[in-house]
Amino acid sequence: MPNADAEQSVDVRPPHIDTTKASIARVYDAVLNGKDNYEIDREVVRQLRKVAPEMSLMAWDNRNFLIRVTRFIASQTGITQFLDCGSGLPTAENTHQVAQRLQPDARVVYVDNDPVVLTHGRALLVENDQTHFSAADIFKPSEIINDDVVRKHLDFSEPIALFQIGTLPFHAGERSPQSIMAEYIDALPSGSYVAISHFIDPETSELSDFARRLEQAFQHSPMGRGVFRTRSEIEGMLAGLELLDPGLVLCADWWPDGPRIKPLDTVQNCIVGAVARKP
Amino acid sequence: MLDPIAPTHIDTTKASIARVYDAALNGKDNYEIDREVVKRLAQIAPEIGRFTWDHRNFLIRVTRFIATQAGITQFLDCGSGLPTAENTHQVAQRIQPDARVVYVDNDPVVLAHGRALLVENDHTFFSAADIFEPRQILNDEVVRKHLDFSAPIALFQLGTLHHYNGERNPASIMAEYIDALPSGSYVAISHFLDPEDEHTALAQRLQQIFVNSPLGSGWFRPRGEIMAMFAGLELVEPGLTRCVDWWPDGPRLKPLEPAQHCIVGAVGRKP
Repeated sequence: MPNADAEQSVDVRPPHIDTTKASIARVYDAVLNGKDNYEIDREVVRQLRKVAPEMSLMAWDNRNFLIRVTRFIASQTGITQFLDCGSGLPTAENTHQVAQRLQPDARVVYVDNDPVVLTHGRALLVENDQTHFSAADIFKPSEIINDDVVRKHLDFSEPIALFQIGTLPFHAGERSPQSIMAEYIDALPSGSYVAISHFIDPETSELSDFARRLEQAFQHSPMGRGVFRTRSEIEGMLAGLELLDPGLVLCADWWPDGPRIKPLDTVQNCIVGAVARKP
Repeated sequence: MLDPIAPTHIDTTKASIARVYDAALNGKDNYEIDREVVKRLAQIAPEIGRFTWDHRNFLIRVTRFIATQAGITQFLDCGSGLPTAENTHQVAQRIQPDARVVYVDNDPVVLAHGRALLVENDHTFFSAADIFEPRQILNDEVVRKHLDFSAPIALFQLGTLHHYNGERNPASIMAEYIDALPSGSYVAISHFLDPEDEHTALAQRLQQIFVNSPLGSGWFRPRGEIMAMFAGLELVEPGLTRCVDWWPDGPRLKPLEPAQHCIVGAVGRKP
């Protein structure tokens, strides 16, 4: 409907997309074999694959962790409010689809400030009136917590599920990711759930070197960042919460869908996730 | 909607397995006679809804496992029942868009109403053959046309075999199916269990209600008899377990209700 598009363009100022800079969302999309990425993003992926040829398994482990966590929260905890920080570009299954299949009245607010996500991704993600989008900065908790969209659609007097899935390794600011998470956690009501996933340096002789080389590949690529942290650094992001069984584990090992048939690739040992509950 | 060409006769004075399941899952495609069976079960096991959902969620998780990990794209789902929130083809095709699913059911309501809802794309098919007659299924035109028996197949008998009232041993029915499947195929079964422990009395009382209801079936078998249905297969971990314990979606937050001890499932692979 060209007329409708013309009308819309009056109100919507298209964000500027700099195709010479890689974006986290588009690099993820490229790794997951999506089509919403540019040459600069694919260049990042090529550089990462020199160190980790099976890079896409890591990205899928992260994505499938998100799906399983959403399923768990929607089916078992009775929570119907989701704040998904760093939605990224849509894939086969997104938070609102998984949650709303189990809890038709679940409300999901996605937050992302990537220009491509804001234009293209948002149009695909916000497909019903219980799914909303905010362009705030996920590394600025006070901005998110006071955001109009967030405040309008999520009730902070009831438990909320907060996701930071695969996001914190890409924080480039001065503040520690532990202090960012502490500010989020402080704002959540009792009974809320927090899920994070993060690149890990497994601190073993055979894997540590690999993790650090992959970290270097991220930092020297057009992406410029992608930090691999230790277990205790990642656990520090969940301070004040009770970790659910089995704690912080490989994303591939968090309540998987059936037994593992193929052995894990090296790179799959470098991404972990956990779900925790605020007492 | 009923098929305008060949309307199926539906006898609303007889309970049907598919409609009783639907009633237990809080569906709306059931009659008073079906709800009466569920009411009687709920009198001794108020958790009959959870018991039935355990079953259904097992189907969903097994389908997910097979579609993601086993690389299988052919599903033969014996006893589809009435559609619920998530059905085999939706789960499988979300992960493997080209997955082909053949549902088999001969319940008149499933054939009329359920089929119309289930067969929503050209990778999903329906056969009205008798799931307790393996030869009939294996030679069925719909099955043969859409499933390739030279490549691995996932065969489901979920919540079906405990409703078989014929002369044959259910293990021999399964043996005939398993024999026809190619190597690398997967078989999933869920079944009412007599746990042979403190929950035996409940299992026996539930069995009595099922068998004396208009359904006339619902046999709670001991573990050994259910294991025999997997003869010739390698069970994938963790073997035959309570449905609720087969690779659950996250930690269990609520304690198990007694009836949840009386429904088990397993997945086996043909070597």
